[in-house]
Amino acid sequence: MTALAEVSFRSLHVWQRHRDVILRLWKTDIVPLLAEPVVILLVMGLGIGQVVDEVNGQDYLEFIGPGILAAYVMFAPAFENSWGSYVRMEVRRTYDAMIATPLSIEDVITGEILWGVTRSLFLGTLILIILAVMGIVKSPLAILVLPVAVLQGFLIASLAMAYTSKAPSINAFNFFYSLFIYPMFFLSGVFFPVEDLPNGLRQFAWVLPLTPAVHVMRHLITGDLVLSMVWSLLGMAGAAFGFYYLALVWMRRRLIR
Amino acid sequence: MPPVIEAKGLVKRYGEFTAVDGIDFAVEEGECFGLLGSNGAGKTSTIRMIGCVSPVSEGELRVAGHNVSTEGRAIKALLGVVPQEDNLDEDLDVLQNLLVHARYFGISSDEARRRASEALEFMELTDRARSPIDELSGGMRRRLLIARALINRPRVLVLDEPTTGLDPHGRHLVWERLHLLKSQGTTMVLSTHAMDEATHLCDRLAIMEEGRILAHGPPRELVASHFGEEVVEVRVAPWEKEKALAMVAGRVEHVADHGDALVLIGADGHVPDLVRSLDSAVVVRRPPNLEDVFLVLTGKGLSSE
Repeated sequence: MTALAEVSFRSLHVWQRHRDVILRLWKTDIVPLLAEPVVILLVMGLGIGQVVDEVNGQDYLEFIGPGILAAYVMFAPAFENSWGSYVRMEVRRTYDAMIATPLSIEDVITGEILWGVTRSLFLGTLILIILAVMGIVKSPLAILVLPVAVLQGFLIASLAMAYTSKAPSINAFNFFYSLFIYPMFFLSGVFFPVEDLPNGLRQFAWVLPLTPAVHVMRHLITGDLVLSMVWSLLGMAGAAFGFYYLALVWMRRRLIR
Repeated sequence: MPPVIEAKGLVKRYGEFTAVDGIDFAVEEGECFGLLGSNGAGKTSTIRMIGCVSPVSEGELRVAGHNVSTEGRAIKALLGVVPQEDNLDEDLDVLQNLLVHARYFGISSDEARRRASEALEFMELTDRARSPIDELSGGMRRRLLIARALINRPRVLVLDEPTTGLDPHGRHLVWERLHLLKSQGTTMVLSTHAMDEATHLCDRLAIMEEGRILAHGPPRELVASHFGEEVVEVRVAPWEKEKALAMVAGRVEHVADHGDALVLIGADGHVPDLVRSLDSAVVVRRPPNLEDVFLVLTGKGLSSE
């Protein structure tokens, strides 16, 4: 596991660089960032909520609320650590500038992933507040959604980073979004229960990274704890560390030649 | 004093391709050492190995006594790297680029501010401190890259083609600043394919071609050891070239064909007048330079791709 041995506290300096950039640019970033989940919540919740009565004993808006939260916790690092990281790596050559200093490539990648996690946590917190304001949050356990958002952010950021390490060009991300990220938005239980999927597709849905996140967050928000949440979290943690390790190894192979 | 950089039998391979084919060189404290060669000669691969961002395939390379293969972080802390490509951070302004870079070295924010101020002043960019990067001209961006490379007060400044793409004013400004740094005792390693840059700045040079060092030494010695007092440079129209070559055959020691000009080395006294008899000929007698050395050693010009 020499890849992990090359990670140091200097990863935090990479995180600080991203923080400095966002402090400079946040005014243009924040409204579009929030507008999308809020619009989808209202349009789908109130719109489809007219057509659909209840899902598993829940009001439709209450049903999709946690799903939307989990989905946007996914979208944030999915974009940041794919497209964003690729541009820094290949177009602006920011990584080259960083590794000319005492930073290792593992420090750079870890810092990039930490930033993806930060974006997940930030967006997750904002959407949780919005859900609470809308009266969708039913239990104080809902606050545990935040550490779950950190874990999910780490998983998706690492996965995206691993993909980026193999991307031959910026067009490679078209496949990432259209064949992986967006299908999850529809198959992972955000808008309708996974149980309603046909056989085969249902089992497949449980392998997708967004599905356990939606599952856990929905149960935390309603305050209904079930054992299957533990398996979901363990699965997410295992996948997260696996993809993190792959991202470190593959990035070194790509950039240190 | 031991050399600051020492390479012995240094090799770099990318799969089947050998970019650096067993070179030896040493850079002494306080000198400006140049790697002179055309594109693809192995200069950038050598620079990247010194900078510990490209693993050594074979051989030894030490910087300030540290082994590049095992002590990368320690070496990078002592280096200031001015890359060939512009990798400035476009999401930050000029000052922030310096402060963020200083932080990677573990320099405290107060100290970083002090040094950033000094570096900006040294490179004449103080009034641009809060400009976004995309507002800077090419020359300013290059100056900022140099300012950034100085932020950690490096023991060795490594520059990969520092004035490529700059206009004459920009080049002279950069050279003048580098001269000043040299006079302050900064050791420098420079890679270039510009003969004038190598002559003006470098105390010693290694001429590289296809991964090997063909000759090394101070620029003046390299020129003197290969030539006499002057050479004859002849430019003729393509249809008269054969005639010109036939005319000088047996009257010169060596003909170097640049493509657009013929450089005649060791020509006897009659040669210039002889060649002037051709309609299109433009004949110049001039002192030899590094490009002539390069052509003699490699059979190619410095600007060949």
